[in-house]
Amino acid sequence: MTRILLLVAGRVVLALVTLLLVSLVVFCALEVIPGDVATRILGRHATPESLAAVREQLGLHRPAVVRYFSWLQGVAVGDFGHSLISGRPVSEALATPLRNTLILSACALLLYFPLAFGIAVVQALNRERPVDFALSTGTLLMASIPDFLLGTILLLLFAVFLPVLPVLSQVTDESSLTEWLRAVAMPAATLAVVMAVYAIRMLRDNLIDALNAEHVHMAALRGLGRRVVVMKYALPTALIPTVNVTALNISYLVGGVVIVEKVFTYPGFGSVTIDAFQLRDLPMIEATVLIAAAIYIVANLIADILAILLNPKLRDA
Amino acid sequence: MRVAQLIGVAVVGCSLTTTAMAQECVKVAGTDWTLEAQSVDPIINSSFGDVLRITTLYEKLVDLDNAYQPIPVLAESWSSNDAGTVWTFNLRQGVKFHDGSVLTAADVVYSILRAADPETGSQGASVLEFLKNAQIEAVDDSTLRITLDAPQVELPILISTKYTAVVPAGSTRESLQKNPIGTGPFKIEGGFEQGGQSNTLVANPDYWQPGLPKAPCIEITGITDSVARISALVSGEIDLLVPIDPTAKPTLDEYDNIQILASPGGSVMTLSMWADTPPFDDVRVRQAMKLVVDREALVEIAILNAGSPGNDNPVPPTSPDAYRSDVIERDIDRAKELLAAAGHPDGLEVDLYTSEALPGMYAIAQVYSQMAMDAGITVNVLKTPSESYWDDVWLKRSFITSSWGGRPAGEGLSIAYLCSTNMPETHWCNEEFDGLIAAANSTADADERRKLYQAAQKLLAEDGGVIVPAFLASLAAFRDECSGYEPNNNLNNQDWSQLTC
Repeated sequence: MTRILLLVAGRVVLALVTLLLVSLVVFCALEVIPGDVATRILGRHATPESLAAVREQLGLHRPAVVRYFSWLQGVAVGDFGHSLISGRPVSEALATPLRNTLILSACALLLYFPLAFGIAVVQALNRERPVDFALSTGTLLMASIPDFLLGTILLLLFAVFLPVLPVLSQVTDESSLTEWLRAVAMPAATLAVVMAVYAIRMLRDNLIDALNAEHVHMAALRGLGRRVVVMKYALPTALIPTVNVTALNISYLVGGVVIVEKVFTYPGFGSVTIDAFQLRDLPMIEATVLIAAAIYIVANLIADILAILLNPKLRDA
Repeated sequence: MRVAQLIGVAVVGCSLTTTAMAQECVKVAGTDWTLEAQSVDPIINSSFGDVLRITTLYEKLVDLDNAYQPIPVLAESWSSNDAGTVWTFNLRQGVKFHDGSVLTAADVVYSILRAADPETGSQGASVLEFLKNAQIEAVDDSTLRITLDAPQVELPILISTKYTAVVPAGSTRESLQKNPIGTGPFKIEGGFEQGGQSNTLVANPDYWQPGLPKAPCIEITGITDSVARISALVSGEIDLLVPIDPTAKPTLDEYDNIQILASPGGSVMTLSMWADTPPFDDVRVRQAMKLVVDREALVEIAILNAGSPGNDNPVPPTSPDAYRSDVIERDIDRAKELLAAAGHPDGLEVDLYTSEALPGMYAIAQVYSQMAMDAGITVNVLKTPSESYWDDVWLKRSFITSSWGGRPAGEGLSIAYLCSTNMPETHWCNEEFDGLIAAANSTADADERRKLYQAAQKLLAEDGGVIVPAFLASLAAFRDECSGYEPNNNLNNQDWSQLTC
C-alpha cells in the first residue's frame, strides 16, 4: 500500500509541473501565431485606433510576462479568468460542455470495454480458426476508417437511411433520458469502435499468451472449467498491457471527441475548444488545454496504479 | 435506394411526424456557430449566426430588394433636395420596440450615429465613413434629416447597411447584449444568454406589419459539418438551411421533399490583382489575365451553375445598369499577344492566394488556374487556412480571391475601387473613375446616372485590377412544408416575417 501512496504523491507533483509547462507552451504559441482577439471582436475593417483601444481594455498591451503571471496568479486561487470575447467567467462557459463530454466519454467507455474484451476473448479462445481470421479482418477494416468518416457513415445509416436516431445531438438540460440516449448513441458508438480496434489486437495476443502461462495450465489441470480459467486466471494477466492501451485510448478520447462532436453537433467540450482557438480567446484556450492535459495525466496515473494492482509480482514488493 | 429510403422513412416516420408536429418553432440553420461571440448588437455583425440573430430582432430604415431597389421599412417615404445634399426621411407611425416604447426619429439618429462612430467599436464605421461630416438630426418625432457635405443621390441605399438597424436611443453594447430591444418581427424573452447552441425567438405580438410574422417562434442554430447540415434538413430536424454551398445542390435535388431557391444575382466573386505591383502594373498584363477566362464554363464547372457570369466589374450583365449585356468572350490569342507586348513572350508565373473561407473561392481559383495555362500563364494556387485568411492574406497579397455581397451599381463600384477606399483589394486608383462616380452621386436623373455608371464600369473592366468571372447566387434549401422565404443577393439582408412551415 505504501508503495502505491508514494507513487501517487510523486506523480501528483510531476503532474503539476507538467501542467505548468503545458500552460507556458500554450501561452508562447498564442503569442506567435497570427491573428489576435481584437480583430476577432471588432471585425476586419476596424481602424488601428479602435483595435488599440480594445487591446488596452483587455490588458493586452501589457508585456507577455506580466500577462502570463497575472493569469497564473488567478489560476493559483482557482480563478481561470473570463472570456476575452464575451466576458463570461471561464468556469461558467466550460461547465456544461465539459459535463456533456464526460457523459459522452463515459458512454463510449461503457461500450468500448465489452466490445474490445468480448471480441478479443472470442478470438483468443478460437485461435487460428475461421472466426479468428474473420474478426481480425473486420477489426483491421475498422481501424483503417478515420473517426470522422466512421461517424458520418453511422450518421447516414441510422439518421438518414433508417431514420431511427437524430441527426443533431443537440441535447439541453431539459432533454429527457430517452433524448439523451438517442443523442449519445452514435457518437459514443463511433468513439467506442475507434478505441476498441486498437485494444483488440493487443488483448487477443496477451490472452493467448496468458492462456499458455503456467499458472493457467495448472488451473486447467486442476479441472476448473474453461470459463473460470479464462476469467479468473488468464484475463487479469492479460489486462496489464491492455490497461496501458486503454489509458492511451482515454487520451485519444480527449482529442477524438472534438471531431466526433462536430459530426453529430453534440454540445460538448470540442466545440468550446474550437471556438476558443478561432477567437484567440486566451483564458478559454488555456483552460481547455489544461483540462485536456489533466485528463491525460490522470488516465495515465490510474493506468500505472492498476498495473501494479494487477501484477502479482509487483503487489508484494 | 430511393424505395428503401421511402420504406425506412415510412416505417419510422410515424414517430418522427409526431415530433415534427409538436415543434412549432421554425428551425433555421446557418453554416457557422460561435459560443462566446454571439452578437445581438447590430454594430457587431461578423458571422452568419449574427446575421440570423440581428435580422430577426432589428430593422433598418430601408431595405433592398433583389433588384437593389430600396423598400420602405421603418421609413415610410423619403425625399431629397435638388442637389442631393439634404435628405428627409418620414418614419412610419406607431412602430413599437419590443419593450413597448414607441419608435421616434431620435432613436434612428442615435442608431446611425452609433454605427458610424469608430469609438463605439462599430464594425460598420469604415463603410459609413461618408457620413463623417454629415449632420444627422431628428426634426420631430417622425422626421429625420441628413445633411451631407457632398451630394449623394443614392443615400437611402447607402444607409441601408446591416449595421444601421435601429436600436432605442441610449442603448449600449452591454444593454443590448443583456436584453436586445428592436422593432423586428421576433423578440427574445427573458434576456439574452451567451453560449447557447441555439437561440429561440418568439413572435413579436406588437409587430407593425399586421398578421406577421407568420411563425410563432423561430429557432436559430448553426451546423458546421456539411453532411450533418444536409442530413438535418432531409430528416426534418431543420426546416431551412441558408446559405448552402453549390456542391450541396446535386445531393439535395434528389429529394422530392426539399426545395432549393436561388437569388437572381448574388455575391461578386473576384480575383484581385494589385495594379501597382509587377507584373500586374502593366495594363496589358491585367487585360491578358482577364481574357483567359471562359466565364460561362467557369460558372458551370466551379459553381455548378449556381450563379451567372460576370464582366470584370461588380455589376452583373443582366442588370439594366450594366455597361454591356453580353458576356466577355475568352480570347487566348489576344491574351498571348498582350503578354508578348508587355514583355512576357514566354508566358508568366504568378501566385494566387485563396482559401475556403467563403463558398466558391477555392473552386474558382482552381478553374481559373487551369484556364490560364492555355495562354502560358502558370497560376500557382496557394490555399491558406480559412480561419486566418482575412487577417493574413486579404489585402496583403498581390493576387487573391475574394467575395463581396451583392450591391447596387453605385455602392458596388465605390466600395472597393475608388482611390479613397478602405478596402483596396486592387490598389487601383484612377482619377477619371473617381470623377465619374462623384458625378453620378450628384446626378438626380436616373438615366444620366446610369450612363455614368456604365462609363465607370467600362473603365474598371478594361483598366482595373479585378477579374470578376462570376456571381455566386445565394442558395437556400427548405422542406416542402415551408414557404415564405426568398434568398437575397446579399446574405446580410433577410426577411423572416413571411416564413412558415
